[in-house]
Amino acid sequence: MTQADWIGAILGLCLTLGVFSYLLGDNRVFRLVIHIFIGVTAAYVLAGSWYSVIFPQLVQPFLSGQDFWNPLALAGIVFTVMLFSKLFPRTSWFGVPVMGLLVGVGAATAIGGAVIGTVFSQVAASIRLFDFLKINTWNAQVWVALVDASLILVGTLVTLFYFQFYIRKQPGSQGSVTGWMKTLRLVGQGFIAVTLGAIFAGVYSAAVAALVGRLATFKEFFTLLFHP
Amino acid sequence: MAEQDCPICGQANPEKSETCQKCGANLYWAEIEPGEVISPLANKSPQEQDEARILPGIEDSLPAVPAAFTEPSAPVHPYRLMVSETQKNYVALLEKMTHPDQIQPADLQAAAVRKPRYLLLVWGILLVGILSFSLFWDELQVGIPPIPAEVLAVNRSISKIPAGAPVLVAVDFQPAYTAEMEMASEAVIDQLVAQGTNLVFMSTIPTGFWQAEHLIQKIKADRDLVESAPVNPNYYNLGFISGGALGLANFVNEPYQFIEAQLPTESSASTAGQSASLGNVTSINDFSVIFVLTEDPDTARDWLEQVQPHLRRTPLMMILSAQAEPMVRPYLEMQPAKIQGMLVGIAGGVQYESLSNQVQTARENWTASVLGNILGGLVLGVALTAFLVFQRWNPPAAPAAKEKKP
Repeated sequence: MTQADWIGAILGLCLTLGVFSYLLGDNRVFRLVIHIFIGVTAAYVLAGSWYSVIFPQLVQPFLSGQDFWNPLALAGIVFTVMLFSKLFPRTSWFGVPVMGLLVGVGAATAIGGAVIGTVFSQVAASIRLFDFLKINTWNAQVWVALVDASLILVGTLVTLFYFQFYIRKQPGSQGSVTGWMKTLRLVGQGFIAVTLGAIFAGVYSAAVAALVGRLATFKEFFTLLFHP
Repeated sequence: MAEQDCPICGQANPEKSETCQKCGANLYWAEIEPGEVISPLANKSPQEQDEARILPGIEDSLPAVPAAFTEPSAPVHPYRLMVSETQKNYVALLEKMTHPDQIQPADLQAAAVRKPRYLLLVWGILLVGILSFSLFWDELQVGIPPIPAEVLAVNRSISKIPAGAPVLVAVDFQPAYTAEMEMASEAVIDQLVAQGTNLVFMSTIPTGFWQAEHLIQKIKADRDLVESAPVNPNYYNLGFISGGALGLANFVNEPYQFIEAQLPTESSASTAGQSASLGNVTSINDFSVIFVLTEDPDTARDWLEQVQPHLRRTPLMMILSAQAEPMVRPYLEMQPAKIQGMLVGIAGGVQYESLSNQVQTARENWTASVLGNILGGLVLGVALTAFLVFQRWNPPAAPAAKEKKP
């Protein structure tokens, strides 16, 4: 290990212990470490944006002179200046068209992708699960495939029922969900609980992996320290 | 001295009092009968009344000052009649919120959630202690989980890639997930380096550039330890592609323009130690495989929605954090599948390492990870049982009867 590696390892050890100090309660060391992390992250984001986006796509073409009269490059500069005007209340109206363009194009891209890439394809895949000819080609047992398909269909429907908030109000009553709708919503709630449980388990597992990674660097550090 | 009884609460008040000393009701307006018109000059002396008129001397003429705007014209209702106790509590709460300087320390103490700090400390020490113990005790080993079809599919696809073929690797994970994501992906990237592929790194997050550099340098350092000569991976780091889903949609349409824009000169590429040749990449389908490394299900979905529909023969593979798996797995299980192979968390890394038999990073940390997960499950189970038992013995108090609306 070089001298820089040792300094980095010791700093990493100290900062990790500083984060662990939160177990003793909120304290100044923990806050200092958090401030350092936030500051370093902000600096990385700024440097990354400059070197990967702003300089090569906005500044470099003009410095090299190759895109000086390119309308698209000029539009980029103009739009950037218009966006900067939003920093000041008096001139913020100047940036509204660019914001509108960004939001509109972004929404159109996201909706188009979601409809084609997720909604249509997932619905088609759910229907295809009941296609007996396709089930045979997947080399799956028919009854197992059908149970799977039914579970997915029922789960989808009851989850949608859970988000059904329309209630027919009877005269003289406040109105409430009753009967079969109440049962379906309860089952839907169960499906949602299982889904959230699975996500929580994944989040916990990811957190444990992060902790294991930190402790593994501790192990590496002490191994090198005592058995170089 | 004459007293004035409050018509609301009956409290005796001194004469000419405007409000009740007990309930605060307006005594002046409480005396007014419905429909009665009160002249704004009623309380003035006869001389003052006469001087205030437009036409002095004429008793019924209008006042010179527009009294309608200076005196209350609408009846003021005593608030105790109109406000319920619940509404008064809401008013008191609103006053506390709008005047925080008037909040008493006792209120803050009552409102504060009392966290059992010693439990957090015990839990932290237990978790760190057991994980450290398992990391330092090398003999303690947990078995490798069975290898699922999606991991085998990744291995099959990589094995078919010829040397020099371009492979796109999207490093889209946040720095906090570096440990997990590198354990999951190191064996895959190592195999790609060993096969001499041209790796093209890119990212849709600003810190992705450095994450990719860290990953490739780590693999290079590990390989240098075992190889006789220093290893120089063929890679090209495109860096950060801004715009999220929009940036991806743009990249899919014109990947080579991005490559040119990000690193326009050969000299800068060679300065950065990047030697991949990308002259033959003109379309997204020119990549042999696309790998997406992410911990965020939304980022994975951006790739599936914006990039996957454009892929004709290039397989899309995902290397995910455990937290993203439940949201992304449907795209793998659907027919036809949108993802052709997937590794998840440390378990995925361990499974792939058992296939490639080269890198052992995930294997070294696998036991600690399993113990941590088991410990978390046990603590959660004990806490849930304790909660249910506690509720059984100390059922929550029945809600108070609803207050009748006034």
